[in-house]
Amino acid sequence: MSLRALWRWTGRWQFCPVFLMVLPLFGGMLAAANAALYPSNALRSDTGSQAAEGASTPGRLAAFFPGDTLLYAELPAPERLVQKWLQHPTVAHALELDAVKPNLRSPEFLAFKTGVTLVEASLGGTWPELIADLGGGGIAAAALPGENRFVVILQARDEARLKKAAESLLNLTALQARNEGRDQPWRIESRGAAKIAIFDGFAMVRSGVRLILATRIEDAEAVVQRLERPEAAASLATNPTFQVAGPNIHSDQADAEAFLWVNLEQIRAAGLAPALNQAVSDNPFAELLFGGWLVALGSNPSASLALHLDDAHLRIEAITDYRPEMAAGPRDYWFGAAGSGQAPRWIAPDSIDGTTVMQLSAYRDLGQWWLNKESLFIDSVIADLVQADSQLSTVFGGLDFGGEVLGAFEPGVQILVSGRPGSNLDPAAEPTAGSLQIPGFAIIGQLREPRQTTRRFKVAFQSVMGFVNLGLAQAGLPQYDVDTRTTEQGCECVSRIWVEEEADVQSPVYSFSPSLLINNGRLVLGSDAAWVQALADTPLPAAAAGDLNAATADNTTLPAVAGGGAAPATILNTHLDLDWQIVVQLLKMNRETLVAQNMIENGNSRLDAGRDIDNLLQALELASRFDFRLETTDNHMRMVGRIDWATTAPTVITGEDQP
Amino acid sequence: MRPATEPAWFDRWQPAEAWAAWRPTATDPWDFAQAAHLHRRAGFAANWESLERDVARSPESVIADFLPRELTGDEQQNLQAEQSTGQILAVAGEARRLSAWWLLQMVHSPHAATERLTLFWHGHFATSADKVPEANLMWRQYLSLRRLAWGPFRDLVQEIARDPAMLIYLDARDSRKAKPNENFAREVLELFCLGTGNYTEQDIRELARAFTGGGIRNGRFHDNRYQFDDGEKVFLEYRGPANRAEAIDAIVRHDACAKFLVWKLVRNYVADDIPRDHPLIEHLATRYRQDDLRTADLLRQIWSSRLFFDRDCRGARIESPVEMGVGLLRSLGLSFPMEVLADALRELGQLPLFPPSVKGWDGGNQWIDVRTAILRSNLVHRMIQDGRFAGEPHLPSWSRKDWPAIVKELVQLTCPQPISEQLHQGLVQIARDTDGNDQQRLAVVMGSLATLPEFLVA
Repeated sequence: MSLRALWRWTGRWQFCPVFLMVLPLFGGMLAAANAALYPSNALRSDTGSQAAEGASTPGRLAAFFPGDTLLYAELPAPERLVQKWLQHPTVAHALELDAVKPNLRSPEFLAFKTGVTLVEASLGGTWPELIADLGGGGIAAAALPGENRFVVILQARDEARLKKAAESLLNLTALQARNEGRDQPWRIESRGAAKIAIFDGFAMVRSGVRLILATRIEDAEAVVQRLERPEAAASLATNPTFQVAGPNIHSDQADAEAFLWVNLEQIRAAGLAPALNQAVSDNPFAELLFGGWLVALGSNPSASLALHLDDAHLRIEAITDYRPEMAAGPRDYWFGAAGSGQAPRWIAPDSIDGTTVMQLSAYRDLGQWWLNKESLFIDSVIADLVQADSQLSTVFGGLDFGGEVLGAFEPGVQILVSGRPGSNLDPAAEPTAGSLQIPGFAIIGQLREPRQTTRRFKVAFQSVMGFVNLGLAQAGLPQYDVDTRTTEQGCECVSRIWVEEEADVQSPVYSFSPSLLINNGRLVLGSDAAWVQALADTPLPAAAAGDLNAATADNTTLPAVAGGGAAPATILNTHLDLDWQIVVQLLKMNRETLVAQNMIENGNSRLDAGRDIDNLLQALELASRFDFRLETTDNHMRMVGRIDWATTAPTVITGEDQP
Repeated sequence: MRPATEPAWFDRWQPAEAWAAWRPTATDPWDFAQAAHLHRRAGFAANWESLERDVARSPESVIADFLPRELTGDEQQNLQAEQSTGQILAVAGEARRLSAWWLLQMVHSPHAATERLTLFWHGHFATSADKVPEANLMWRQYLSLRRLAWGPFRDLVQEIARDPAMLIYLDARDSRKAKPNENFAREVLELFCLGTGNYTEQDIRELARAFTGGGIRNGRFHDNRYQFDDGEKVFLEYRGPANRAEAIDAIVRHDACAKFLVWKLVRNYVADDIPRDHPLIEHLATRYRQDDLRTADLLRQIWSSRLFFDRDCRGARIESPVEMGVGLLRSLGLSFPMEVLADALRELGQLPLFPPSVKGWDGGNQWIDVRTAILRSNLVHRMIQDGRFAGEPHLPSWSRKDWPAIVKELVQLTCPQPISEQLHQGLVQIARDTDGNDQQRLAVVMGSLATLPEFLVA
């Protein structure tokens, strides 16, 4: 079963009454639209308490699916999810966006609204009420092994309404068929005690408070049998892997709004995702970032994912097993010895200037990564890396790039991006309108033996800048004046653009003054001289470097830097923190470039392109921060992504407002 | 096309009469068709509302709008914003996208006549980004051509003679005293200023000596006085130690220069097939010389002339691919991805910044053959099918979906001459027989119209 097959399968339903009826039950996206349909809170006032009473942990419906299920997705409390979504401040902000408001008056949306009204009229309730009554006990969907095998189960709270819904569904379908001059589109067959409606393409059966939809009659029948005699057949709930690594693996499962379980073992066996069967990677950067997860997904029996939503955040947590042998092979560079690799925090971004856009901290032994390339990558990538190795060795004066250059660093790397664009412009050369505003970049590492290697990096920097200057000269651009000196703590290599005569001040080259500073073994290489200097001078955080792991109990907030002591239960391997508000500011500073891009690509006038870009920037303001972590514990690996919603409505942007 | 032996429509005009100012009369009025003709030739066509507005004005005031004028505050601000966009693309080194940007300028510019004249000079001083790797240099050349487009011509040639993109394109950035590069000197005489038959090989050799020492440093023109040949040169009617600037001055003073340029401009704005030695050309060249080769004065006279508003002048040029593509977008108020348009125009043989050779685009009959005729029709269909209208197509009958009227308006807007009643009925029938929405019908109708000779000319 592939995603393509899934789309084909849904595509057949998209315009039939059955799909129209089931569609609202998968609330999420439609909920936003419904806020426009029901400006006041459309849910009954008591739904909150009902939801609380009916709050259920994920996995309850797993007992009705077969043990060899490939993918299991569940909305354990759809009513609660819809309520949260409808009352969510970000949804309210989104509906006020200039890009959204006209769409709510479009013919397509009005047609959709009519369809929803039709369903509501036939079932006697607003769609939030229908979700509460028809899906209040949970909605689950599964993909099964084989071609075109999908099953959906709705667990209703109101059996009478479910019965009416099923009958209305059949009647609507028959009515539509008659209107189109077709035969009766379904027939009823008795299978034991159950009566199954057989459609062209799927089967539907109602059993008590449950409605089952399946693409194959046999699968619907099997579900009915499990409903009637749960003890008789093996099910997903009795699958040992699901029991161990199912919903219960998430510590805060009761709050999850959606849950997904992936049977990796079955998927690999069926060859549905060839990348999972591949022991080596075809992308060096993906390997560097997610190498540990690639080995986990390629060898673990399953992985599970939970989604949490509240007024302030959207959080997605993925969990899979961690086994010590994963860190014993070539991915030692990623996990560290026995999985103990911790993301460093040599510099706390907040301590610089409050303009940090992004900070990425990761435990990676780059020397080992490079030296193990033959075990990590496919042949074509290895060939490219071998070629790069030779060229980089030349740049570094004949040193072995993997062993002597990358190997000169302690494991761990920290990358910072500053929202303050290059401050290296000659004060007399003001950037004119339309010039590119490029953020500052810096990479920080810790040298193993600074006394032996500082001078090596200083010379390498001089060589690289020599190459850069040759390239700039050939392009007719001004060159860098490079100042280098050895200090007691290390070295300072600072470059600045040297403008001899009239030059093009809009060249992006003016946004860079590549600089390298080594201060007591801490190496900072960055794009802006002043910023690099500030970073190099920043004192280490109070605690020892290399520990970001004092995670809070619920792991939803940024951890503080921990002190020494016993090894923490959770080891933070990788941490990405993105200040989305500063990203949007940067994009606004480059609005002219984005408008230009839009004009060329779409043939828009400046006015239309400006409107498109402003709408996009406004939409981006809905979020304020993005936080991403890769963690390991004794038994598990966790990947946690969190979006913090903006607390204020997006600003209205006009061309005149732009910097 | 007209057989060579047959007199042409312009042969019936005496030069003095032909270039005299046209005065509308009851039988030869200033009407929608004349206004559309003026826009199609002097700019890149206009939409229905603009044409109706212009019909209500005098032709003199409309022509004045095409000539260089002080831009309004908003226009100036928009132009600066557009140019900063071009600069961004140039700095990023994207010549192909820069070309797409220029096409967009032609569509949206507040002064289309300047863009059209700049395109003419770009074809005249042809330089291709295929050979000039730095887009920034092509950008600067575009700015120079645009800034100096309206003349005097002398200033324009002086600028081009020091233009880094041109020097790179003609391999003239390393012309030394010991080995003068004759390539640039040859093109200055043959293609830029005098035309064939007005100079000798000896003139080229002598002129090449005047151009020695020129090179490029940091992307700018640089004179190396150690490599300049400061000896006496003898070429055309000049004798002396001419340097680059003095040599250019001597060339543009030559009688043949004005005549050559007038001929090229008349071909571009009046008739493709007018011969270089036609009395109409000589008459205008005399005036051009008197006006110190100020192109703005020359174009005012051309656009105001009786010859220009002769009904036979409509359709006397084959529309270039750029004129066709840009004109369609402007006349219907259509948006279309510019990079896609640029790719299609390259297929049709005319992509700005990428002329095929130092001779530029030949134009005229060279634009059309069986392949390009089909490509044009397909492009027109695609532009309307995939394009985005600002609201609705700018046609009075569009809201009523009155297809006979819509077809008539489309012909008035995009063709210089009317089509037969039979063809009109055929197009209406095509609209009625086409499945799909109204935009798809319009695309099919326009795609069909684009196959007619009446659409291919300007």
